[in-house]
Amino acid sequence: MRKKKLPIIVPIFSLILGILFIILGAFRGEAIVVLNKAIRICMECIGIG
Amino acid sequence: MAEKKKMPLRQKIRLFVQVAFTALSNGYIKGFAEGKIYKGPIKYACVPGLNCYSCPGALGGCPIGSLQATLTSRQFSFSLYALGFITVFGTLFGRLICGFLCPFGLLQDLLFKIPFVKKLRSLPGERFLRFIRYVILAVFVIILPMCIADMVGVGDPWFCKYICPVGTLEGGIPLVLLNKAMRSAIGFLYTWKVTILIVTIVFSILIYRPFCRYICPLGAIYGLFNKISFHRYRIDEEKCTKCGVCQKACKLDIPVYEKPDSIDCIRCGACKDACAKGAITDAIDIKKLAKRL
Repeated sequence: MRKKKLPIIVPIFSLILGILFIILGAFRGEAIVVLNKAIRICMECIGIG
Repeated sequence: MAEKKKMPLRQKIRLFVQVAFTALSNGYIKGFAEGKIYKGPIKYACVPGLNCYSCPGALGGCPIGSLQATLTSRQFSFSLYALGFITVFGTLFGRLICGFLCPFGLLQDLLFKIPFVKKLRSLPGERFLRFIRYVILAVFVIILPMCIADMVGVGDPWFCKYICPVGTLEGGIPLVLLNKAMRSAIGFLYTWKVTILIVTIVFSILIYRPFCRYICPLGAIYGLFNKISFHRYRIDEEKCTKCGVCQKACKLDIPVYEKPDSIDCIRCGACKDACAKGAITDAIDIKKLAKRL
């Protein structure tokens, strides 16, 4: 039996959704939170704090 | 004497891409020299693989670290930004990222090349063990950072703090070696994390990619995208004889002829190299597409 092909619209929709998430997240101010965490040494991540 | 097996071209290309991408995403050389981290605007963006942003060389953010940074902050109870990056990367590539673009994946690949008396294809209770990464994703990456906060409302990045060996390897060890103040601050947590790293390294010599198989929450998410990403495998039913040679070649023991889009597949391409019939192809043929365009 042949498997059903995945409609191309599915990954396209998912990609657009991802881009929208990034834009909305940036507008909400999440990008700043991410940057602030990333530019300081994360003590928990390296096992100190 | 047995002749040494030649590495297929696809695997040579993969190794080159892995090394190049690891160097690129950790290309801040000054950080290694001075024991400091990069503080520029590239860190607004996440890299596709698991790469600790506290590595002295890191130029971008870790997707899992960024996700937790948002969830543990006072302002946000969920994260769209980091999830957006993960969705975009996952949709474009699926777990090809694990196979080609993850620095910790490269390390595990290299460790597995170290000869050992007996290499294992799987561990007892393999199916159950492969489920652990989803528990880690749900509990340590999402629920605990979201729900447990201190008096000022800030939570802990539980996965990064208690589990992730990447932070220890890329950030903890180099920064402790390069920075005297950090050396004096190490305690039980550091010992715990170094122990996890050592266990991961030892297991990586015995079995192929144990961290990716059982622990990695990022791989767990990308695995879900394997079924819908632009980069997928397709089985040509007319060419496939179901001989199982693809499964034998697969170091993760995936029956590719049955499940070409398995959530465990890291798209290393070993199955394609092994299939003499050429029955495994990409769902979207880039060469054909380029010709058409």
